[in-house]
Amino acid sequence: METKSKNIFSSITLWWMLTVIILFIVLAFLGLFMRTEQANLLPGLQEYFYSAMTLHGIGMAGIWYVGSMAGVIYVSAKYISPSKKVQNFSYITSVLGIVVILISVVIGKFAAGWYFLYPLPFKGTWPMWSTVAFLLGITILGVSWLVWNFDYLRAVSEKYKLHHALGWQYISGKEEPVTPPFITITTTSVIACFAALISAVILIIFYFTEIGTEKMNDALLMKNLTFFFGHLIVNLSMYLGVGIVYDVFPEYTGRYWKNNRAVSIAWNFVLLLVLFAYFHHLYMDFAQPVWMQYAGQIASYTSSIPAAIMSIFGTLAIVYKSNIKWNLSSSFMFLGIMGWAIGGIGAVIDSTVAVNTVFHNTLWVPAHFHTYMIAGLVMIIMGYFFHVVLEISESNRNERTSQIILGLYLIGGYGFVMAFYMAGADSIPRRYSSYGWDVISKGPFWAEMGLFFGLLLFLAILLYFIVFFNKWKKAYHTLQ
Amino acid sequence: MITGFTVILMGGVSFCYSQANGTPPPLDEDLFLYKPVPDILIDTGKTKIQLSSLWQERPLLLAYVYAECKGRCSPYLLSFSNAVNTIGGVNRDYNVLILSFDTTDNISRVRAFCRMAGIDRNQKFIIGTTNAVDLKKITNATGFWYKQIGNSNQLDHPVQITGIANGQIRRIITGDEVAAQRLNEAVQILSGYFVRSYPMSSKNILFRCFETDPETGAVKITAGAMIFFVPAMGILVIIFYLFYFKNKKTV
Ligand code: HEM
Ligand SMILES: [Cu+2]
Repeated sequence: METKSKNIFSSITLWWMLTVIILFIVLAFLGLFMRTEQANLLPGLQEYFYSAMTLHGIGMAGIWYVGSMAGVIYVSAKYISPSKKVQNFSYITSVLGIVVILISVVIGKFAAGWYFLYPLPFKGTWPMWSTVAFLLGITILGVSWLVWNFDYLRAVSEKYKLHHALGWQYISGKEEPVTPPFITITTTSVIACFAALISAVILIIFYFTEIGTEKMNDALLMKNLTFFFGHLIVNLSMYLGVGIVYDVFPEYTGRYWKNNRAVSIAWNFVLLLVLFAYFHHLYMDFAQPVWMQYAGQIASYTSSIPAAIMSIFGTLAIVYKSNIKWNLSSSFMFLGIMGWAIGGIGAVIDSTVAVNTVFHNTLWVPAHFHTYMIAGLVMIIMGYFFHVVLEISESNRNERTSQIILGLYLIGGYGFVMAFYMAGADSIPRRYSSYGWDVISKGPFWAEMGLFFGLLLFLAILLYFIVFFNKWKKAYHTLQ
Repeated sequence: MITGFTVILMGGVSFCYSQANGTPPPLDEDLFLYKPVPDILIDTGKTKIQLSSLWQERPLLLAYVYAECKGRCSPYLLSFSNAVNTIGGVNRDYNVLILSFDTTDNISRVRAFCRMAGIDRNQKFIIGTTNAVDLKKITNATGFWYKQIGNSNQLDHPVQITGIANGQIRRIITGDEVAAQRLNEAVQILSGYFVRSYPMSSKNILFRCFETDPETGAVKITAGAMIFFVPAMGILVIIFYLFYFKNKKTV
């Protein structure tokens, strides 16, 4: 233990964790607010719906990305040496970016949705300055995270050759040199993430060009750039979280999770194909060449299924007949991997062209991504964060913390997403602040159901926070 | 259902009418879409009816003319009536209202003018006039305008067909030539079907990745699509720099 608690990233990771969990509570509250409105229980507050949705969406996408990345940095200290300065820089600039976005949405009423699809930012009811502020916030985050990712790759490159980091020795049948799966997974993910951030930067440049000159942008090109970025950043947050589990979970099972040929092939597939999966967001854009639509479906399958299968079977295999110590961390991480699979099925269904023609922009979409987030990545990261505070505070890892949190979280979480799935299957559209007409008259009913389970989920999150914060304070004092 | 590949050139509504000095700029359809139309009173000669009675059971296509027009009204009406004949469905899928925008017109003169311009009785078009107050309301709501030319009895005006469904403007077709294809799309939109549309290219656009041919619907990749390669090139450069340039390892 001693050597672990000397992890040079302990302090910054504590701050990252606290920031993420507190923002999570606030953003989850906004989620409940939206569901309450959709249940027609808050007439009169309709005008705040889209600002709430924008903040909730960009906030959630952002915090779980930084949460995973911060977690990755903490784990990586075992193998490589990312720069401490860069960690502080990314933390401070990320917080700054969040503040600027908050100003844009809360004061400026910016409400174009989390991926601010062109030309919506220019067509809204909000003033121009809030669009500019929002884009500025995104710029700050983009630069911050580019530096963060660059530094990570730099640290990998100091220690590993590229083909070793990517596990190609395993693919060609050798066992040496050893590359932990964590390194292979995070290297592939961070490389792809770098591409996503470059795309975000181009996007922002195009936006600012339109603001500064008479030029206009091509909506389809902008949509491509937007989803290249948006799909990747969310997808890769998940993969970073999975990378963490590969490394941390063995500490609970007492078995080492070895890299091997199949694992390496699966994650190289990710690198090769994840860049093309985003095409599935453009199935309804007929002006997109047809071959891209095929490529989108194929890449959606191949960039997710092999990696998911390897991870799920890997997790099961490592747990099976082991003496795993179940506590809040290990159970959250374990169930997170399983939840990822369930949400992933929902996602892959929707990334199938024939299905998408029916499900496009229905509540099925929020259904699947809330599943692999709430029941997947969020569980993984919450479990992992708890693991880290236990580790830094040198608390007993085997303590069994409240089963109530886990129970409430699962019932609340799965119930909440179920209400989205049912509504989606009923063709109820997403992003409606209220459901007025006949065709979607079942909308308020499913919103009420969602709200009910959402409240249970919220309670679980609050209870988690109490337990987590308790250990956090202890960890904080340990470091002083 | 919609068969075949149709492309409406939205933003392309900015065509062609005489840009005399002081003429308002071409109509921007976006500003009118989904806006409600006022429920004006229409005199058809035989009866007086509310405009709403015309869009309540089916969509409505509204065209403006005036009886004394020596200019674009008659060729335009002819083109419109030909397009309607081609697609069919008046009084079944949609109503057509020809409304005079000259308050001095009387209904029989407007009818005579329409006959002369090639519209026959069997076509079941509704022809009507309205009072000055209502005329102002409807023209404002639909973005239509007219202006007396000198001291003559001639009026300068654009030509347009306004598509109305459920009391809202859902499509405005401008231009003297009414293509049956465009009209058909408008009717589809008004009837609640999805019609594909893609903006026309313009010099003002920064980069463009794909072009669609409005005739065939074929999609072509254009130079702007090079943008897609920038992120991929970016990572190649970074990887090369870090792994092969900065940290050349021998082991
Ligand atoms: C914790 C409880 C949560 C609740 C109650 C909640 C609720 C909601 C609701 C009601 C919507 C709007 C759905 C619509 O009609 O389109 C929404 C959208 C969204 N949520 Fe959540 N959510 C929660 C957690 C999360 C998490 C963990 C994420 C993680 C990424 C997330 C990301 C998003 C995103 C990206 C959108 C879409 C925003 C947009 O369309 O621009 N949510 N959420
Ligand atoms: Cu996607």
